Amino acid sequence: MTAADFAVLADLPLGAYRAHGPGGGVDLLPAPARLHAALLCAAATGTRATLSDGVLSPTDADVDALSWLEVNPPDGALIPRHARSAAATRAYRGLGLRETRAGAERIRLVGKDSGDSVAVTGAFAWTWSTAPPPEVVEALTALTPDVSHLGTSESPARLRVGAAVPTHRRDPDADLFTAEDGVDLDVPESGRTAALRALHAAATVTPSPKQDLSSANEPELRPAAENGWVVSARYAALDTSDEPEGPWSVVLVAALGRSVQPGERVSWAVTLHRALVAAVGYGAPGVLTGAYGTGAHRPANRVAVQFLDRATASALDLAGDHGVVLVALPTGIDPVESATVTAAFTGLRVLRRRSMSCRLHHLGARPGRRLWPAGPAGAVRSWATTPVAVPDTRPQRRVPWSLADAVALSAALVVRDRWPEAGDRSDQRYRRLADAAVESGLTVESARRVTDSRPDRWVHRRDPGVVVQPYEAVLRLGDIAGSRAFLAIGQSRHLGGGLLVPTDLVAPA
Amino acid sequence: MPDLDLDLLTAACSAGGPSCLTSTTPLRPAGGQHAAIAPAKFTTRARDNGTYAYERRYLDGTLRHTVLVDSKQSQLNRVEAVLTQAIDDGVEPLTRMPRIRVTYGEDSYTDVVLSHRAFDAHIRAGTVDGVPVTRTEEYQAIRNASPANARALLDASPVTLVFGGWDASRKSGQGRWRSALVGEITGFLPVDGTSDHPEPSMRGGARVDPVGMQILLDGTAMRGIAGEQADEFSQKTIDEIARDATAADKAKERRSASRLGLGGIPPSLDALAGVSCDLIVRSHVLSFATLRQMRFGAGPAGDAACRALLAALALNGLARSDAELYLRANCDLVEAAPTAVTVDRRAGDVDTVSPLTVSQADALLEAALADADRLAGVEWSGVALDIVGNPAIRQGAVAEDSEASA
Repeated sequence: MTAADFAVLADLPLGAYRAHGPGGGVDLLPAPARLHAALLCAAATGTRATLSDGVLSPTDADVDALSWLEVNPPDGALIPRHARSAAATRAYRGLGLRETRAGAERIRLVGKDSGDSVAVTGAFAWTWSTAPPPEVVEALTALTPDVSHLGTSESPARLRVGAAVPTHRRDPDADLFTAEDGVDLDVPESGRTAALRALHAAATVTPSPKQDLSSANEPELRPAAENGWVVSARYAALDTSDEPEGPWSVVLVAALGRSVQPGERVSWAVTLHRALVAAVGYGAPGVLTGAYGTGAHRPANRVAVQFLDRATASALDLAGDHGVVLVALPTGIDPVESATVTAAFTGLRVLRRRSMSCRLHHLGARPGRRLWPAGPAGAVRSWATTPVAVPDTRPQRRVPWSLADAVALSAALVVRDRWPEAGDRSDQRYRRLADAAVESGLTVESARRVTDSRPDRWVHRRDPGVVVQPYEAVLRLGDIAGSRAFLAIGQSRHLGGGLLVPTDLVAPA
Repeated sequence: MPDLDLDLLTAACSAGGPSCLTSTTPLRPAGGQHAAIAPAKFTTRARDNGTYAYERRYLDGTLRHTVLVDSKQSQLNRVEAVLTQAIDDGVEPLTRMPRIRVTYGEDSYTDVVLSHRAFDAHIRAGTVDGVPVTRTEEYQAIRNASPANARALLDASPVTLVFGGWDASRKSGQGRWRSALVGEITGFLPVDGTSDHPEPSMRGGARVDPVGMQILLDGTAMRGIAGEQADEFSQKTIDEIARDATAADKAKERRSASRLGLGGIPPSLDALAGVSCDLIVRSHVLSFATLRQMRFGAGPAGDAACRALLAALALNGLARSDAELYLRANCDLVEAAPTAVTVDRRAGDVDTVSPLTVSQADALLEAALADADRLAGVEWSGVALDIVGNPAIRQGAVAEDSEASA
């Protein structure tokens, strides 16, 4: 990767970025649109602004520079390592507004959720591989020190122009479901500068003295926001790591409108699965339904549905107050079938199960081989079943068999196509597959059965006479899959069970 | 090491100046590195016993779990408190700092401590010589202050320009002033940031009544004791004691007098324990870029002098606040190393400057005020606007206090 010809860099002296997106949710990364707005604010009120008839305005040169940004969004971005914190705390603040309750006047006190922030190490940068015209460079060089904040007042910033090596490159051909690793950032479009200036002018009209009177009940009047003239752009990661393709190649993501408890994951997964099949309609492919014609090849995996709770989702920079649902497409899926399932999923807006409903807000796609972030350098990565997994088979009686063997078998079945020679006879086949997994480096660090008064909630279907025995396990994958891959094991791996979530152990110094 | 002096502030507040000044101080518990401290406590959505605000931050490139020891709002509140104390103590020139005062009988409050400063409801609901303050020319000028000309605010409420304020009830033309000073105290936990964040430990608490762990009284005794202290109890407590007394009479038995504050409380683990940090850092940022977005109708040199005055005021409050490290019970801190103060330069360079003592900060503020007077005609003469508070609001506050003390 080489340095871009021109960059605007931003340091956050307090080490954290705090900002809200257009919908009021946490903004994870400062987008080019935010940079543009911050530069406009500096141009309109900072030291370069001109004062005429008591009104501050940006200079023509600065307006031209901002207009240039609208037509020439950065083609690269330097995104430093960052980590979201989603503290579930609430702070009570006096709003400085009057309210009357039960006949008594008081000052409004409101609880506001606090603690959401994004820790960063290093500077953000927006880069251009071709330097702007000299007059634009001059304007941006002068404006950047006058930018005071990116986001809230708890996010003071130091901006400057300089050089930076981008970590992401804008992909103009990407759409919402381009799965390659990247981020979607808002960029300003032509007209954004004028729109923001018009909004500001409308908001600065002085009200009449009568309108300015204090009243016994005062609402908090937030100025209107301008969300137009902004478009989402995909910045694809310039990732040099060579992760192998995993069992599932694409993971579609949607934020949930309600929390799904661990014990409900299978039920909701079944609900989503049925909704997908219904959406596709007649002729839904076997990769979705799991039903294959007689004699047809049954691949090791099919479309899988899994859930992440809020904390795990935020670790993946996935915004969702109630967690997210993942719909994973298996590697090797037919492109037409992939498009069919994707369209069916993205068309779903709400799931209904019994008397409950759950809204879905689609967040795009991630590559299956790089779903999880890389661990710290030198860390050993283990994987834990989340919440539980269920053995694919009943305990084998004619060969030596333990719970650890069942876990190894479950992992092997996900990649069973590697070992077509494992044979046909069930017990010996299972033994060979479990051994093959171990020979591939799989290590079961721990496994324990989970005692549950309702074990059936961890499976969609069970054979009569077979006892459902959910378990928790921690394993190391060896060569089974890459260190960042989406992976699930066990009988319910396609329907909400047996998701493997990584944990990293760093050796002490 | 260059001094943090008026020349530096004036240059910083002029075109081409640096973005910000950063002040960082490592702290440690007064009881020693091993001692646990009580961080800031917050409620949760579940409205349980509360929790600490755990976040994650990078330290030397490593992601670490942190706990918020003192928030931005709390740090600014402390700066306000020390400025108020200095004003009350007659410290020059702070005692002459313009401020807006609202008075309820014998009690008065200024924009220094009111949550929304010049735009707080206590001010807007008040009157001046019987006229609603919102109809007075002076206050209208304050509300109409803008980045194009913030002089009215500078002359009446400079703290609003330093610590921020938002005229949130105004239909348009709202004054929205960012805080130029922001800071926090963060404790770094000896826990890797990629693992699960720690849950707070709980500690035991109990109350021992040496007379008896349980004091049982009949209804008559309850009413008698409550009656003698009626002025001290809220109406809600009095009603609850009356109900307990009636129930005791009905059942013809003695009942617990716990509502009267008698008897002990058995030990239970329901209070948050302290947190052990291996590093505590106090950070502040004074944004010169924020101040440069204000004009005062005094031309470039005069405007820069006015901004430098605001910067000096912020640094004065910071120097005083930094000297006070008692945050709350079980959270006594001391400085573990000198404060590092930096000002950014071009191309990512920084200059390190000497931190200010309180007396140096006072001298700097005096010099800045003289310069602002010379170049912009700024005068500090104490209370700029005296307002009589709305009695309805005061009564409402008293009623709420009574309930809170139950």
